This record gives sequence, structure tokens and C-alpha cells, in this order.
Amino acid sequence: MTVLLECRDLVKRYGRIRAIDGLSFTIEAGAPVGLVGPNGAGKTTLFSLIAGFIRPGQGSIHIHGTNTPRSGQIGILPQDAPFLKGIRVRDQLRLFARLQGMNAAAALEESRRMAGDFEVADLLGRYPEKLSYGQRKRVALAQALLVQPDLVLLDEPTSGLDPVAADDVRRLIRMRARDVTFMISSHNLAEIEDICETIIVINEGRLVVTSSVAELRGQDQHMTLELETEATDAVLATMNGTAGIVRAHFVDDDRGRIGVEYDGQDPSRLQMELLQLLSEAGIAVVRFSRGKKLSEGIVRLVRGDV
Amino acid sequence: MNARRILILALFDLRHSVLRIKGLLFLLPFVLYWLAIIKLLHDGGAEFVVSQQGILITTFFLSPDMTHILFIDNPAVLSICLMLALTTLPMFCILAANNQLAGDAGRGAFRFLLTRCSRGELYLSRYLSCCVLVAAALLLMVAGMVYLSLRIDGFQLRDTLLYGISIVTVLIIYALPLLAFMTIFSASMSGAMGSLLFGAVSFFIILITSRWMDEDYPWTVYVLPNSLKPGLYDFTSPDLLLNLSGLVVFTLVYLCIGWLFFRRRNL
Repeated sequence: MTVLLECRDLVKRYGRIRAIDGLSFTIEAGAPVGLVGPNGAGKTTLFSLIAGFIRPGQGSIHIHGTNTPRSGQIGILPQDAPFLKGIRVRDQLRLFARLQGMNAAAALEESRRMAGDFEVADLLGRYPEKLSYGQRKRVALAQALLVQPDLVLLDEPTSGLDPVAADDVRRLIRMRARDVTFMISSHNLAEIEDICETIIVINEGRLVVTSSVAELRGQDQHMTLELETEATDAVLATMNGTAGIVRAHFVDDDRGRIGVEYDGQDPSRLQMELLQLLSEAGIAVVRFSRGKKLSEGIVRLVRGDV
Repeated sequence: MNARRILILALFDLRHSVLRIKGLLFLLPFVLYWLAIIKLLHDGGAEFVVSQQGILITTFFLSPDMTHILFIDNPAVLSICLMLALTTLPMFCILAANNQLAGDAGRGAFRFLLTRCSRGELYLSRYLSCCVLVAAALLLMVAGMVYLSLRIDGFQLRDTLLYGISIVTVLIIYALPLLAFMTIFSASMSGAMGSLLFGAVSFFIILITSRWMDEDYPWTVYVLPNSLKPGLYDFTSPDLLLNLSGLVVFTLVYLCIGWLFFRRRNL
């Protein structure tokens, strides 16, 4: 894997507020990366710095080792940024493609192709300010991927969209994830979990952790069992006595949900043993999942519990 | 800095400014003003200026030598055009250049462009687009005046054409620093209206203050390019080239100041 993006000691101040405070991380080409953090953590500021909308007070940003990315090397879907007013979508997409080095005919072809891929072909002749929010988002996504950039920054790609439109956008992202590296900022952790393999967590402008989704969920140390009927203390005690289990407990004092922390050795065997134990106790398991919710892992990290 | 991208951006902006508020704010008053002037000259104004009475009045504003050069040695209609254009060009340039960057920068509309071109390319392309718009308008206006002059003044076609070309060249070069002056405000403000107001007010305050302070602080006259205007009437003067070079220096200084604002601003 080659390093695609390297941010080193980034600092950005707005007056006395340090929106980004000594942030350093790298992203490798290939796998989609999620950027998460609470409101005001500095996610949008970080994207703005990478895309060049704002200048860092200190630090450096390198794309493929250079601090002057070539035209169109980065694509971006900014959060709610408007297109140029009073200029048809077709003309704007063509302009973008031409700026990325295409001649007039190729730019027209590329903008038509992208519009087709993102199902906005019928919007090409319209003015951006006349489009609905969802339509604008689709067009913005199409422009972000014009002429295949190396890195695509998506800032809240599905916020404000209805579930169907949001699902379409996620599908389009997944479809393209083989060709370009996505960095996605979103509060929708299910979306991040669904699309991304790696997550960068930031808080108050500082890096909290860079980790894989599986690691953050504690996939190899946690299980959750949802039961059809409530379990007794005796069942729980038996579980706690099982080899390999570090701790079994009722989740939020709900006797219908048992959380299990284990030592990470042979989880499949442990899973079978637990199911058998519950079956012998006459308790059916409705749902079984490995790992915690992603949000739990992130909340603990942001609060500094780990 | 990529010349191709600058050209693409400038032509795109030019094409889309002409029929939008951005361009019409300049074009409408410009066209109406010059149509009124052409009508006035056509309806006897030109004859009046070259009459004895007219020349007498002109000598209140110009030296007798200059009056002779402008209205006797050269086609009077074109000389009137030159005088009026040099006087009104600052106002038209303020209207033409106030929204080079301010509106789009304030709305965040440059965000789709900034990963595809540099700030410098964006900055220069918008200035270039503005210059081309004003130059084209001046060219058409002078062409109309040349036609009128041929009908009224009775000079040879060649002489009239050469004088017209000289006038349009001087006017375009005079417009360059005025447009660049407005670039400073457009690059630093977040709205077209603010840029227009601040630019216009600043221009006229500097103009009035420099006239008022020129005895104690003579350098204040050289804050605006207007100080070089008196040297632009006589095309036979050896100082003409020096004055035109001065205008280019003004342009570069203003563009550098505007760039200092634009390169650091949050877009």
C-alpha cells in the first residue's frame, strides 16, 4: 500500500479557537476511510484544509508526497457548498473536466458519462439553484468523481437526504470505491461502518485514534446475545464460569440482553458453547452479534475512557 | 500557474457574466451613457464644440495648445470621446469589477473549483475576464465614435482610424489599473454590494483627499492612476509612453495588494 495523504502537525486557528490542533495522520491508497468525531471536532475544517479552501496556520499536507496536488487529484463533496449561480449544470461539469486537462469534446463526454452514472442526466440542462437538495447532492457527488481523482473527500454525503436517496448515494459510493480512495466524514456511524474499513477519530482538533472498524468494535473481544426470554442469575453465573469468558453481564440491566467479554481465543468454539448452554436452560437466542456497536467504541474513545 | 486553465476560466466567466447582473451592472449604464453622447454629438453637439463659442468654453478646462491639438488637429468627435471616456471610466470600472471575486467567494462557490485550479489562476482569470469585457465595450464604443466622426468631422479615413485606434489603446490601458484597484475590494469582501460600496467610497475619498492634501503631501496624488490622466490627451507628447508605463505599474501594485488578501482568505 502506498501513502496517499499525509497530514503532519496541522494547526488551524479561528481567532483564539484552535479548530485543528497539531493533527497528524496518513491515509493509504485503496480502502475507504471514515472521519468521525463529535460536533466541532474539526472534521469540516480538516476537509477544507486538505482541499485548499483554507490555509493551515502550521503544518503540511502531502498528496502522493507532494504539497501541490495536480489539478483534480482531489475531488470533494463539500457540505452544502453552492454551485456557481445562474450557470447550467452541464456547463459547470464541462468546466470542471476541462480544468482537469480534458479538451472540449472529451469534457462534454466525461460530464455526460458521470451524469449517467449518477442518474442526473436529466438535470444537465437545469440551473443548480432550481434543483432540490437531493438532486444537488447527486450532482455534487458526480462532480467530485469527474475524471477519476485519487482521493475523494465526502463531507456528510447523505445528511438531509431521505432514506431512499441516502441509500442510492451509499450504493454509488460503494460502486466507485474500487477505483478511488474515499475519505468520508459522517455522523451516521452505520454508514461509516458499512462503507469504510478504517476510521480516523478526532476530537477538539486532535487525533484520538486511527483504527480499523473491526478493532474499534472490539470484534474479537465482545459478543452480544439477545434472548427470547429473560435469563436468570444462575445462567449468567454458569457463563462466567465458562473457560475463555472474562465477563458476562446483563446489558443495561436488561435480562434479555447479555454482553460477553472474552479473551479473543477461538470465538467460534465459545459461541457454540454459549448457544448450547442457553439451549439447555431453555432460552432461545433471537440475535447474536460479535463486537460492540461502533458508536460505543467511539464514544469511549472520545470521552477518554480507554 | 497554468495559462490554459487561466484562459478557460476567464472565457467561462466572461461568457457567463455578459448577461448576468455582474456584467449588466456595467454594460447597461455604459451603453445608455454612450448612446446618449452619440445622440448629442449627432444632433449638433460636435459642431458646437468646434465652433468658436465651443472652443472658447473648452479653453476654460484645457490649455489653448491642448484645445488646438484635440479639436483642430484631430477629429473633434473622437477627442470629445477621449475626454469623456477618461473622465467617466473610473465609475464604469467600479461597476464592472466590483464582483470579480466577492460574490462567489462569499457564497463558497469557489469550492468546486479550488481542487482543480490554484487560487492564483482563479484570481488572474477573473481579472482578465473583467479586462476583456471592458476592453470589448470600449472597442465597440470607439468604433461607433469613429463612424460618427467620419460623417461629421471630415478627416481622412486613415487619420480617423489611426486616431481611433490610439484612443481605444489608451483607454484600455487606463482601465487596467482602475479594474485592478477594484480587485482589491473584490478579493477581500464577501459580497458584491459591499465590494461595490467600499470600492466606490474608497476611490472617491482618496481622490478628494489627495486633491486636498497635494500641497503638503504631493505623493498622495499618486495613490490613484488619475494623476496620470492629464498626460494621456496628447498622443504626440514624448511623455505618453511614460504615463502608460506608469499605469501598468499601478496595475501591478494593485494586483499584488489584492492578491495579498485573496491568497490568505478562507474560501
